[in-house]
Amino acid sequence: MKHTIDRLARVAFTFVLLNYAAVAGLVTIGLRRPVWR
Amino acid sequence: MITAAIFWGAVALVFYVYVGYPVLLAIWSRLAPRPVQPAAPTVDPPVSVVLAVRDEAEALERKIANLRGLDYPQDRLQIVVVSDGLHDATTEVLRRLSSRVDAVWVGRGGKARALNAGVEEARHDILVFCDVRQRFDRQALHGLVAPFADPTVGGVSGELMLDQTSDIGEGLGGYWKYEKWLRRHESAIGSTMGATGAIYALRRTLWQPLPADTILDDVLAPMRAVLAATRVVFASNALAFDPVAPAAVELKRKIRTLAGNYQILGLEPRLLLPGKNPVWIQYMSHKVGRLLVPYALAAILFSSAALATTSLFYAAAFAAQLAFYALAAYGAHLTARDARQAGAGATADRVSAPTADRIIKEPTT
Repeated sequence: MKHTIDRLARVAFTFVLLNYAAVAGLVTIGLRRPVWR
Repeated sequence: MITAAIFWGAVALVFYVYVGYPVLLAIWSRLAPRPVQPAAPTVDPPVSVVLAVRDEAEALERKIANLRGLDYPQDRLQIVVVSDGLHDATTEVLRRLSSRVDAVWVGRGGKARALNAGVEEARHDILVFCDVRQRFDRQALHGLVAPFADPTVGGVSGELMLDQTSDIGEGLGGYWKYEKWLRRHESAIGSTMGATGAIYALRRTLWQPLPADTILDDVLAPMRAVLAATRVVFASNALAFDPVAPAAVELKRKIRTLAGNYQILGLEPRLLLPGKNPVWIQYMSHKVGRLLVPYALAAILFSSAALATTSLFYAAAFAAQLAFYALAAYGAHLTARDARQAGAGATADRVSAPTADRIIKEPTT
């Protein structure tokens, strides 16, 4: 049970993180911060 | 009334982006597939691999050894390494490794400028782009160049395989599987919406120099090929491997990717025009939709909060979202704990020692 909740929690975190990264991306573009991969 | 419309409009958007669009793709690819013409059994075409690096000496050694160890005729494989850094270690590695590596120094100017310089140095008609971090499968180049036998294909994206052995990678691994499923089906009906930066190829005739501040060369260059009425297809037998980085690093990468998706709308506004973009429906659904989802999620949360006192349904919807975000916060805690336990460094694939030698351009800075 705890293992299942932990897995769901990680997936939920990933979903939130990946989606709200778009907002941070817009801010990054607005600030014209340099990026390099 | 307006608040309810916002709630349902936002729900419809999120549902379409994550569920409706994949269903549409599944049906579309079944009803109207566009298979790539199979490659004739001819000789392997000559290719130029263009690799931009910034102060990554150790990873560069591994990458060159990996590329030189591929199952591909080495006399048909030019490797152009563009150094966009100033560290002596990288320069030393390039001097030592350059027997079959063409090295170019551009000084600090950004990846796009480095790639532009690398393509100028490329001698062959098929350009292969990659990053220094990921390791290619031995057969990767065969898989990557085979679709070019079809004259309608202008670009090919390989497949990035993430190491999912850690708990950190579990969620990201699932997301990446979902992404690859979309790309495979988009490819089956026409083109993918960009490529995997770790491994993709483009016909040289379709290359246009990138603006200096380009964030996502792996989306801009392929989408320009699509705008030029060619296809960019997904080759699931052209594999590159990447360890999953700690969540903080993955988040930075994701922010960078999404910032790049905003930027591309400014660099190529034709992508937003249905008459100009041959894959407009897919682009709007996949790329633009993803940019809108976080605002829709916020709209769902706040509108359901505002409506919670008016009906049990909205109250339940609001409570469910609070529970979901609490679960995500717990997931953040677990991920941070895992990262602390695993240490900051991600595992990296090691390959054997490199060869060395010729430097065709000395550092100019």
